[in-house]
Amino acid sequence: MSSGDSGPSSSKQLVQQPAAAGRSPNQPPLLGAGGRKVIVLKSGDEEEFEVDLLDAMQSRTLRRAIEDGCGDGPMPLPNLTGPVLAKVVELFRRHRGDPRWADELQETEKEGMFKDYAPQKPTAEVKGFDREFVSVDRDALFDLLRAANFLEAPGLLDVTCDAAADAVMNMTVEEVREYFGLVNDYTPEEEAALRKQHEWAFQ
Amino acid sequence: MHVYEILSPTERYRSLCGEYVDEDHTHEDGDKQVQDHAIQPLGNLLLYDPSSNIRDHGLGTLRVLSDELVLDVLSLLGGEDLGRLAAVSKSLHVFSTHEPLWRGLVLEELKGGFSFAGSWRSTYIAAVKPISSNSSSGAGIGSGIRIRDFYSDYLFQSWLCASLEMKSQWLQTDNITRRRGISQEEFISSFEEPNKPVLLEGCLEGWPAMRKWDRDSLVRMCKGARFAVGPVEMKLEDYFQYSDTVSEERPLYLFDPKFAEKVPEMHLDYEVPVYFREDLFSVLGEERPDYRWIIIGPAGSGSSFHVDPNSTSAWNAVIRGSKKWVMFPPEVVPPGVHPSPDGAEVACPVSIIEWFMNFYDECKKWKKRPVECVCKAGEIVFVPNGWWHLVINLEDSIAITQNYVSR
Repeated sequence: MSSGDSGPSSSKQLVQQPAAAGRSPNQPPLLGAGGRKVIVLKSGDEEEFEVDLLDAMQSRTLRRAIEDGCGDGPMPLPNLTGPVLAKVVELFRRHRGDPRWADELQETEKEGMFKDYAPQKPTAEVKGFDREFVSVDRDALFDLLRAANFLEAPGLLDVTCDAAADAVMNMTVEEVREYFGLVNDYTPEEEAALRKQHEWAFQ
Repeated sequence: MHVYEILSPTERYRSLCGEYVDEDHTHEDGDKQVQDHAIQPLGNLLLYDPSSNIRDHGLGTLRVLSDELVLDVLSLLGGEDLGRLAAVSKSLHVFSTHEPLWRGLVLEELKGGFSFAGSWRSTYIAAVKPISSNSSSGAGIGSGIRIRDFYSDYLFQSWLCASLEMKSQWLQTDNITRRRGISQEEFISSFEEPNKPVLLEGCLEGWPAMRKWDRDSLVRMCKGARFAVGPVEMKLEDYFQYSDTVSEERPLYLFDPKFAEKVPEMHLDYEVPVYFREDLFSVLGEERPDYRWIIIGPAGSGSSFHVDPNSTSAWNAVIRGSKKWVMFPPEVVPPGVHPSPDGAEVACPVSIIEWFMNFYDECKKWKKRPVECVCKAGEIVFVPNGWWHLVINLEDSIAITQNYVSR
């Protein structure tokens, strides 16, 4: 893939899903029926994204909302911006069939909607996409982590947690404080004592 | 060995129970200790200024993430990274010393070759960084550091479940049918054929294990042998050292199907009770799936709800200790349990203690009450095929169990 199509700038129009063609625009998603359904997600800055229902169901938060019947109109997600939602929607599409979340979906869904649906191991292409997905600056990574936290989507969580852990790995104490912009609430004496007690971690 | 508190886990539990959980455990200086406790449930923050929660200051941009997610990120780090995070802020200290993180590191890096040192964190440090941990031991790793005003439901709940014990009201019901000295015919006609549980008393008297199997003799008998313990294999003496001192939510359970092959003497110390000798599985010879296990575990260890595979029935003989059993007939799925559509997988989202806390009372109202009992040393529980069962050790226990295919 090119790195350009996952960038925030690509999100200014609807993400087109080929399977959505011919569908009546106001048709609500129906659980349990065959065929592909789409729902519309709406970012805090009013951008709308058409998403394959199957992809949206990767998110536990969206799944709960859909199962509660909230998928009829555009579903507002006020704490996600358009660029972030565009990236997330693209990841959902790439992760379609990924066993990291598909197993869970098959266990919990009751209507048999996905009963013929076979999870597939992530391909090298998907793994490449994942790496590219989190090759972003610090603030963008935090945005994605927050989105993962809110959406509770296992694949998205995996990718963003890995990236956050990679970022922190081997950082010094000062670098961690700087990176997360956090307050050091130790007294100098406490910090000195802790560093001494954790000497083994500073070698 | 706890980092930010001088109190032992048990003391901290008692101190908290004085205020939040169970008045039976109150002790005189409870109030003071509650105030000193590092982690408090989020609800307590309502009494104070929410901005006083040190969780948030010390997490920076991570503050908006759930506790679970912060821990997910930390679980991907190594021991040295976690050690350094403890010096970053008080909040990261609390997160980075969360015991399950260190349990993961120990099991992954040391496999079964560790000597438990009071906590998973100390165990890891002692094994991986032996020199520095010696030089910094003594008054405890965190002496002088006081952490207060950390509010988190997840960490509080996690810590609470690790220290909770079985309540007496969960043990009161004992409605299983008990029999002593019945004939094989009666066992078949009254229990095996109608597929009903029974507790059999007094049929282990002839087992040498009943006399011989105390801890020391077992350690001698099993010298050098390694037994399956969760994801690792451990020597018996190392396992006992762990199970004696640990206080955690899902203690590692020694559950080994090859004990008789590993230590043939163990096989000589028990015999299959007469009721269970006709076993259609045995025609498979060497090909039969695992069918017998030695089970050793501390109080609080056990198995949450499941059905034994391959339509087998089982017997479970307690040699030392005692076990609480809760069983539901095949047609009644226990509350809080979600089997997959084909029945192959069982998702029981909670630990055993959590099940008792959240679901036990619910099934009291059900028409089909569960069969319950406490099975003591010298007694056998018969689990008919297809029955759901949950078992929890009430004290340090040793048992033998065998699955078989009945007529």
